Amino acid sequence: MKQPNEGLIERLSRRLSWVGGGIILASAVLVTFDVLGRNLFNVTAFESLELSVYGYAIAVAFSFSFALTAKTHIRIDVLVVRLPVKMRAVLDVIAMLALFGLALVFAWYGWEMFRTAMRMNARSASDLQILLAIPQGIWALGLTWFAFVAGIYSLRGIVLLARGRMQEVQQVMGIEDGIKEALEESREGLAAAEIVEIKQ
Amino acid sequence: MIWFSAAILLALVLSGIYVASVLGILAYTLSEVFSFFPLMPAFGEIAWSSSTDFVLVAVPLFILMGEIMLRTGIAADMFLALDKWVSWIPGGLMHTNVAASAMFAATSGSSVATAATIGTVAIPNIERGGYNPALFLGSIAAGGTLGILIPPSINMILYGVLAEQSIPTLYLAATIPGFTLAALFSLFIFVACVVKPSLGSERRRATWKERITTLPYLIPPIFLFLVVVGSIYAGWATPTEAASLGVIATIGLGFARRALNLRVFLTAFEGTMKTTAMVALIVTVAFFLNFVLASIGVNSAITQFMKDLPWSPTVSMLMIVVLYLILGMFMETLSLMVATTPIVVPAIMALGYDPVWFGVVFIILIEAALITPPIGMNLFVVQAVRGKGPFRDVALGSVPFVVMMVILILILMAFPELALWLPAAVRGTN
Repeated sequence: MKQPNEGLIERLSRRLSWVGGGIILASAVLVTFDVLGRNLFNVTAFESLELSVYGYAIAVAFSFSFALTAKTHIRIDVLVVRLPVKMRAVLDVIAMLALFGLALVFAWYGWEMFRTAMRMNARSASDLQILLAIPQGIWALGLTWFAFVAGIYSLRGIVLLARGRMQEVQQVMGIEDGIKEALEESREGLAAAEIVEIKQ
Repeated sequence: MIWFSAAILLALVLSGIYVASVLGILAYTLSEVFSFFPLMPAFGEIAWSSSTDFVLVAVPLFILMGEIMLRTGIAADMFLALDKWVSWIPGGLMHTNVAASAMFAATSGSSVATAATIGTVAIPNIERGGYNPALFLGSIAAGGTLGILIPPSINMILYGVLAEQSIPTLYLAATIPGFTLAALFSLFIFVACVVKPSLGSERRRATWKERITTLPYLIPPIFLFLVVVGSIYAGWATPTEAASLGVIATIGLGFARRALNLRVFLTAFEGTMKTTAMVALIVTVAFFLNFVLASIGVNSAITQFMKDLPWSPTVSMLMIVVLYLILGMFMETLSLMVATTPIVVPAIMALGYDPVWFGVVFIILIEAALITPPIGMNLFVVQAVRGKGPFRDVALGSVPFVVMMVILILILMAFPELALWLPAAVRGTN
């Protein structure tokens, strides 16, 4: 969880993922109440279905950037990892530019949705009658943050390439294996286990 | 058109561009070249609707549940309790690996986490028990893949959403094949160890007292299974609702075991959102690609192509299976699944196969992809847990389990009822 020398963008992206996780947890609570209410008392109190989908859209939009800074977005590395450092660095930057392009498309059409909702004053079809522009606006904001981070990373990559600092490109936006992390997690779980050893 | 798309796809994928971007570029190029009217304006609508699909909300919920469960120690306890019950069978601890993986799979949805957890507990016993390392490691890597077949499976949700099939039906269809596969794994270990006893260790028999005293350790996973899968099968909850119940129940267990604090929650949040964002980015673009493919008529071209094939549907299906086994050696599994579902589902439907049945076969193929070298995530995880010895051991040891998967697929082709009977039976009673 703690990362030394984490930059502002990285730290902010991480914090946003905490918010996203919190939203998902809150959705779980609301949905649970509604399921219990429906099955036990035949009442649905929270409109959890509608709220949780907006929560999901927003949580994900604001977490795209964390998946970027944490190198979780998937790239196929069969060929790339076998290339010399310089080629790899160039491909890393090209990949980042392509991700930036995609993020821009997301942000652009996200705001397009927001504008349409504003113009038509659209409301959701449920009892809540939520002004759709509200969740869509926040969603578009999240997508814009993603595009911003991808843009900054692209810029950083180009600058590093121009200065010939190939290793650093790899550190910042190269391919990471997710294995170390899986091990870390399982170790934490084992520490919490009650029986510790198998007796042979 | 098909070859054109395949060529773009291959070139971009191999250059290491993010998979989501590759799918985006493909969708954009296809719509620019082949469509009579602009398709890009639909992007916002499609992105919003796939971002607000209640079914997909189950993805972060199941991941969060797994993340929290992993840190409560439930899995390790379960492993040791199961060991007391199955270790007397020839093959000993290897059966525990399979049984614990199957049970863990029945409560969480992640195969990498399963392999890492079971591996960490089990691997020190290879030398202590005198097991053949390859077979032992293979049983962990392969056991871990059961997580995506036995419900609740996140991969199945993604397949269901992209192929427009009901998730509860898919879960029901996967249940019997899932446990059959676990049984096949165990059967192979049993036969191998009877034929060649040096593969296993000497047999240990736990006393009944030991067995009974460890039983309470099996309660948490059984409880979670009942909450999550039981509530779906009983018709009380949709998969997303069941996942919510699962999250709350897991947190309850975690607090009861005093394994939770703020730090655990924040780390779990990070892991959850990172993975969810990764999945969501690919899935959203795949939805758009799906739309483009349908709009420019690729789907009907594929359907026509499949219908015109001069050989029988069975042969075509076998070719699809072989193709996926080969692709699975090299491709990352999530991208393989999400990127090809929109193309392969119309194809198999044109051949006359049931998309629910195919969902089960498809997931088994994805399981195989997780343990076929050179690229197989579970192989890497198990090797990393082991931390020494040649990678070859893990890869070779997994081969017999891939064979079991292929056998199960052949059984499913001969007897589709293995998958389709349970959904039909449940539909009949409801």
